[in-house]
Amino acid sequence: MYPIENSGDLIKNKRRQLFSREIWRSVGNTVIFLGLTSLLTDISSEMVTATLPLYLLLTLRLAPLQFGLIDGLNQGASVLVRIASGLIADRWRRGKEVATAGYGFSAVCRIGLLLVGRSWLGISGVVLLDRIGKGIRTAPRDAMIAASVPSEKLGTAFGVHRAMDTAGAMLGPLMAAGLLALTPGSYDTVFIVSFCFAIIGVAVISLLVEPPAPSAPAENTPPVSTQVVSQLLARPGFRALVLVSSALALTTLSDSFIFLTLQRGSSLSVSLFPLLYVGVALVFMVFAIPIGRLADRLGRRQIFVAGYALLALVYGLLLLPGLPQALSIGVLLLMGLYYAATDGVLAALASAILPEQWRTTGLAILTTGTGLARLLASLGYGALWTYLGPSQALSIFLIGLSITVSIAWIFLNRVERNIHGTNS
Amino acid sequence: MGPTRNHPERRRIFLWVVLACIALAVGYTFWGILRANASASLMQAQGTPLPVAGANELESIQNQPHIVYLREVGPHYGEVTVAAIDGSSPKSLPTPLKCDRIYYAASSGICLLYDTSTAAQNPLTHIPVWVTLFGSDFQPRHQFTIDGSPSRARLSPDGKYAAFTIFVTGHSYNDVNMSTATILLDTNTGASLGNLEEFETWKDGKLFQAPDFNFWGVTFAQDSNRFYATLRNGETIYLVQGDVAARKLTVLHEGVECPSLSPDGTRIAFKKRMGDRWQLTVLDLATMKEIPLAEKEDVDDQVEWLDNARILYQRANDDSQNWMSVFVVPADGSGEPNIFLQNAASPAVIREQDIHRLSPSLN
Repeated sequence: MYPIENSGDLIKNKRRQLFSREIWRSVGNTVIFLGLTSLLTDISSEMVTATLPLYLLLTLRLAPLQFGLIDGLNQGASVLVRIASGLIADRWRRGKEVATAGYGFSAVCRIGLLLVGRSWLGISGVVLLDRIGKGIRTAPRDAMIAASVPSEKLGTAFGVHRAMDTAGAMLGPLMAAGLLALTPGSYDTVFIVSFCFAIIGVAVISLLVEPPAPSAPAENTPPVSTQVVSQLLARPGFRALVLVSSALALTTLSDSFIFLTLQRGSSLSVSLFPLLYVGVALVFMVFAIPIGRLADRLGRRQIFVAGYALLALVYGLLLLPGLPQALSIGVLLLMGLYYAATDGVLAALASAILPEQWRTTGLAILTTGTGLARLLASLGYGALWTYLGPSQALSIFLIGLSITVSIAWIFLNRVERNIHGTNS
Repeated sequence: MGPTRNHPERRRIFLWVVLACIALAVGYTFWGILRANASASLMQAQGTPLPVAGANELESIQNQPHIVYLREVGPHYGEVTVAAIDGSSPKSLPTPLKCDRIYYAASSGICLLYDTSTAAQNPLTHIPVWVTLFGSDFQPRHQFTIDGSPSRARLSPDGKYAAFTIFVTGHSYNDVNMSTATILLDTNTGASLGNLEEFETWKDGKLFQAPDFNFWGVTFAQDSNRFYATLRNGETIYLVQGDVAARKLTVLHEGVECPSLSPDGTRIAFKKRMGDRWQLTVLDLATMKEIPLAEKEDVDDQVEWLDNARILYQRANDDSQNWMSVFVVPADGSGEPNIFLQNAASPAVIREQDIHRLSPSLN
């Protein structure tokens, strides 16, 4: 009897590992539905992102030159709304409503793009509103994911969400390409269909997602104020995580800088840039769930720090003179793995240590910190490149990242020990 | 247990929303297909063909000051046209040359054509631009493709060098990246003399380098070696002066986009950023003084000097259609803009002194 039962269990376990359906069921409906919302919204927004330059150029006859100027402004605006939306969501326990509003903003923008016509101010306004929507929804959505699963499944849950999210980002441009093949030059069709996807996304979150029931009764809600932010940052575990993740982000190069260096090193055509993004996204999508599960089993902070070690490896490869084309593929693989090991895993790490009551605000603080650090990293890298040259700039970033990875390893280990010490 | 089971009415509303969205998406797409077919037949009916210039006629036009430009209407969009210097008696050409941007000088021409059939249908793949160098017979001499979208094109007054700018647009997760490539060509061989990003750039006596250099809008001086162009680094826009032979660039001034040197070489007409539009402006190179021109509409073009006193440029027609016309405005800030060529774009002026200049490529 025993051997048969054991082998039955063994087969069951194998199947559980092989068939992601089991994993998907294990994370629950809320994660799946939130993933579906992100997938639909990303299809919608990437349909527009992929075609906007062509629309401006071919239909409105506007040169895309001005677009770079608008973009910096938008990133700043999205940072400002993050913490505010986090505080509102936590104080009134309206995470779902705040996230829904964020998704709704972006849906409206699809129609807005058709209404503003040739006006640059109008187009910039619509793009800005879209970014604000993204800033509003991210933290409350991640908090809902965290609230819907037990703590030991956080990595898997965020992995499932990020995989679906990335799938949408990859499907969007394909969708747009398909539509433009059917109706050449009719960009309004792309925008209307994009709007429909966005509305279905809003419908999924507003009608199918159940707002998570607060585990603790919310009778002693402190008044909403910036004090909450400082109180959260006073918690040693969370403060360490914000510091460490921001320090790591400070030595993180943006994708475009990495691709630019890759292109210069191995003389790839600039026209391959879209394919590089697709390659990284594909690896990210495929590995988000398995690495999330691995993080739940082996420890999230180990996986998180290992992800940044992979990024350091990318810098190292880029420093090799005359990088062979085969290694360029290695760079894409490593970058995808780096995303899979850090993006959702960081959200899982933070969710596990944040108090449930102020989780949204905490997640917003975390992404604000890393977002600002990443912006500084890009500015710093540009300056280093200007004054010292490309390979010196990259070497400095490699040294910086190696140091922060080592510090992160020691620091997070110590904090973990402290937390466990106080718990037991 | 599942949230949907607790709220059957929500689930019903959800299904209706999804059905409505699918109906809208499918319906709109079908309407788009119908409109695409309808507008194709409408385009056929629109615009009258111009008389074709015969070989002798073309030669007689070319022996007088004249203008080369592109038509901007219906099915004739992008057709290369020649006309007298005042824009009268336009003729289309016997060659099937079509362009999105054209320039012509000293028996040499450059034509940029966006391969819209490929680009519009598949934004994911590369977007080829046809770059064609042609002679006075408007027959292609050298042709190649490059990825991006066409923007500016110029020739040196002796016709020896061509310069063109394309946008190399990138695609990313959450931002629209913009970058340009400006490339110099030898019109004789069709060979590339390099991207301006490969030239040495100097600023305040020091070598100037950065990862995000973007160049656009080359304009040549009468000696055909010196040129001016725009450089953007980060948020700052510079006017640079270049030297083809020395492969060197020097930063001169700030805020000058798409420069165009006057025939007498004393002034540069350019577009100046004013809030969310560009103002046509003339920079006096001796005094570095800027004079805003009378055109108050947004102009996104590298202008062309009709003579030392007047400037030609393309901008959208006032009728809110997206077709362009060529306008003329005095270069000293006086007067007001007038339509010079209805439904036309990309003007190149061949003046009296340009006609008898022999292109070295004809040797």
